[in-house]
Amino acid sequence: MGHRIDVALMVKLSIPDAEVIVTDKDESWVRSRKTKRVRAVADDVMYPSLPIYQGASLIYSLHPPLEIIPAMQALARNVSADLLVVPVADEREAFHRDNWESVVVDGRVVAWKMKVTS
Amino acid sequence: MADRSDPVVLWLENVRKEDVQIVGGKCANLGELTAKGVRVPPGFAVTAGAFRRFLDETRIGEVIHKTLRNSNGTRDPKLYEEASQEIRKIIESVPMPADIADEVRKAYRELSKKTGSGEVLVAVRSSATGEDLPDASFAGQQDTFLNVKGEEQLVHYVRKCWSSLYTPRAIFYREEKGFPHEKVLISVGIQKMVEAKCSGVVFTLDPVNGDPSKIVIEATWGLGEALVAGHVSPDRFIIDKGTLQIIHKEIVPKKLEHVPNRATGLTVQQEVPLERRNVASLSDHDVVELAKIARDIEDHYGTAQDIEFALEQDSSGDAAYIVQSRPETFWSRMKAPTDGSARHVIDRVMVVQGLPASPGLHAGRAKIISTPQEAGRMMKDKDILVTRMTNPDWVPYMKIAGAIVTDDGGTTCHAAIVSREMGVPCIVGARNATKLLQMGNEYTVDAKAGIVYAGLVEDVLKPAQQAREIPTVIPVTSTKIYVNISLPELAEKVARETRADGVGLLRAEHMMLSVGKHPRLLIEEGGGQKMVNAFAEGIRRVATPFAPRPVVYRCLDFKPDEFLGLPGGEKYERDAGHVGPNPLLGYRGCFRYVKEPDVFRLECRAVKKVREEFKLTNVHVMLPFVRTLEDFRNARKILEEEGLKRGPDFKLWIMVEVPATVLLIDKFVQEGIDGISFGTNDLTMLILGIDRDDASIQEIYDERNLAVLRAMSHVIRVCRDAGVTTSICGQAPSNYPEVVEFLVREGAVSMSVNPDKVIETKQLVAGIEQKLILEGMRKMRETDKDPGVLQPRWPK
Repeated sequence: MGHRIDVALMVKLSIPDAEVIVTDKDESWVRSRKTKRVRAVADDVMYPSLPIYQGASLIYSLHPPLEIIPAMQALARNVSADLLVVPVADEREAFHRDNWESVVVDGRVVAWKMKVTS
Repeated sequence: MADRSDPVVLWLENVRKEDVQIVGGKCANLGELTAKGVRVPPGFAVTAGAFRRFLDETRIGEVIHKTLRNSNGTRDPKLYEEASQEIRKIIESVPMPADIADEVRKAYRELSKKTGSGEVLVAVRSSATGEDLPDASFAGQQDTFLNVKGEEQLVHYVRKCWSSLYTPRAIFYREEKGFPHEKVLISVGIQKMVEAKCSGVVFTLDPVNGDPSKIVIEATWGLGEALVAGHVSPDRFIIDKGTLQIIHKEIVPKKLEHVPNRATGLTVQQEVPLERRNVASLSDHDVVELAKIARDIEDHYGTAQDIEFALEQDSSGDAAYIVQSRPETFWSRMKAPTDGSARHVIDRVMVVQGLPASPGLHAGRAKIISTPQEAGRMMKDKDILVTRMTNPDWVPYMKIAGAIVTDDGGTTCHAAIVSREMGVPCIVGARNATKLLQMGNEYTVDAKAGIVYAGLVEDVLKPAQQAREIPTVIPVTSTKIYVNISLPELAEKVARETRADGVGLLRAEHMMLSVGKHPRLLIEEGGGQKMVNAFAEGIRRVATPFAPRPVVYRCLDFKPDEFLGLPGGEKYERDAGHVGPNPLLGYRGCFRYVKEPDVFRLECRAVKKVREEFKLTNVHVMLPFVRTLEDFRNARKILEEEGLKRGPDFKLWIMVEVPATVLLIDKFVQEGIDGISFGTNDLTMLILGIDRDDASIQEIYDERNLAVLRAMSHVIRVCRDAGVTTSICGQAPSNYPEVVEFLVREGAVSMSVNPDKVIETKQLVAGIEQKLILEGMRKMRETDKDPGVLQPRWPK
């Protein structure tokens, strides 16, 4: 979720079989960024339209503001999806708690994951 | 086995929607529309039976299915690719049975005659028999060929369409959806090409938010290929489905169009002549006509549609042709179950979520209502009233409602206040409730959690054991508890709910993301003021609800790699050589402001605007990642040049994140600062020599390390002696209560924590402060300074 449709397109290219949906609360942004490969819909994660997310195996966000993290966690729990967050550097230490685990690539912590599904 | 008596060709006017197995979904729909009187380009379908006969009579069907059996189940893309290549080569190389080819040629000649052409230009489109079913969009899986001319070319392209049933993607898609390959056949639709002046797509609901009360039309010049392929941005029109009024129009520059090439019969991309580029591709009249046609088609099918159209100009004006109509699959699959299967569910199916405005539980039938008059007709006792927002006219119906759910509003809106007074469970601000809930269906409203579930959810409705609610007490503390804010739009809520003593860290990074461009690119494009305005608005949204409490704005501290996601990021960060091996130690913080003062000045102007134009003088500035005294001096000079000079009502803070700042804190105090705030994340990293991103040493990263605590202790003491305020905005107090106690004991003036930790921290700090008072009093008694301090004072 969020403005990074370019990343969503890369995800789609890497996993062509996956259905990738981008959500952002800014409706005008969504209208201006629709692409053929990735569906973009307007939705506010603070008050999510749950059917959009139901069936998702992963919800991810790049650089989300810390304030919306609890809403994202609740959403992920509600729809039984894993949650992956790439926080801004300044907010990473907020993930040193709860049930977050770091995602490590080539020895570097690149993201944080909250596993909901078993 | 196909029967030779089955038709090879069927004219579209003789086809109906039930004929999907004969002519595929696309042709069946076009036939249905033709019969309904919708203007569809004339044409015919080469039936799926003809394809079946081709497979049987040439015996290639067996080869195909054997090849597919070898490839499926492995999910190996390479095997799909190989199978696809093999099958397509066979289909395209084996001649079509003569009688089928003759029938196709004959129909083509007839179509040419009907349309008054010698050899009519046609579109050859595949129409798979599994295509366009309500729950499985096969759209775009098979090929389409435009501008085909002549009998031989047509026969050739019919075979190419047949072979496109076996593209790797189509094979994979069928396996994913569980459609047996042998059950999915292909028909081919052949229609007169429309000489499209413009083309586009009509959605009978808003594809962006699923709003069924809207029709959205996207259109561009020329053929629709450029639009479907996403090569051009279309003009966009939003129409109210009920009144057919255009409520939004967005005309964009259209530089490219696809047009037929008469010489080659192919489609070419060309530049749109200048005089047409910025002109609307559809007139208002055409928009309304298309919307009307689309609404009729939706009514006919009873489900939302995704319709492709082409507009041809003839002597009598514009004529809109519908070239395809298929069910909209994304939003329609999201509707809550309607068959009652959600009753007595164990797994709760949540449909919408909003703000709990009046607590309580209720299960009943939803009535989606727009006006009080409608409510008068439709509301029955204990129904769930679902509407956008209420006003005093709604009160009689709110009284009989079992629960109320509104799209709009916050906890102080009309619906919230009245429902609380009436004791009716109510959820407000549920955004899409009027769209996602369905008229007459049963739902369970949990207004305590702010969730509406589909059906009757027994475990929600079961009377819960009454838990005693312990009221939350927010104590007043001597140590100020500030809050960290990243998202300005939530500041009002945070201020109201946490009653924090101020904002100890207002981050600029998310404001930058909202602006959506690298600041240097903005400056290059002359859009610096856009950044000033956006930042000023963000700061204002935070400073207003907190005023007169202080708001400490921390200047932008993106690390170079974090800019890369913004347009211009690659050019101005990576290409400029700023993205080093460890951006946390790189081109950032105060150093950056001095190196790129033009960007820093934009931030300064935003702060000044808030303080002077909006009169919010509770906004102060904090410089992050200050490494040297020289950088600090230079940054302060820029601030002063921009009119932000330290004074009684403007404070300048620095973040203490670098060991050099700890060691030189006395010098910084002498230079002139009003406050410091520990950034424990970086301070810990730098004191312990730990790369925060290196996974192998994370286990020793700990803000409670004695070296870090000693550093903080030293800074607090120096600042306290100099009358400089001390705070912390790193994660340490949010994560570790013992750090909170340490800071209170050391004499930190304030601490700033995440919104969800403010009340907890206040309570914790209050306890610590009381403990300190008690300890102090005991100590006084022990030292005999005031032996009576803890003695009870009896009345004389």
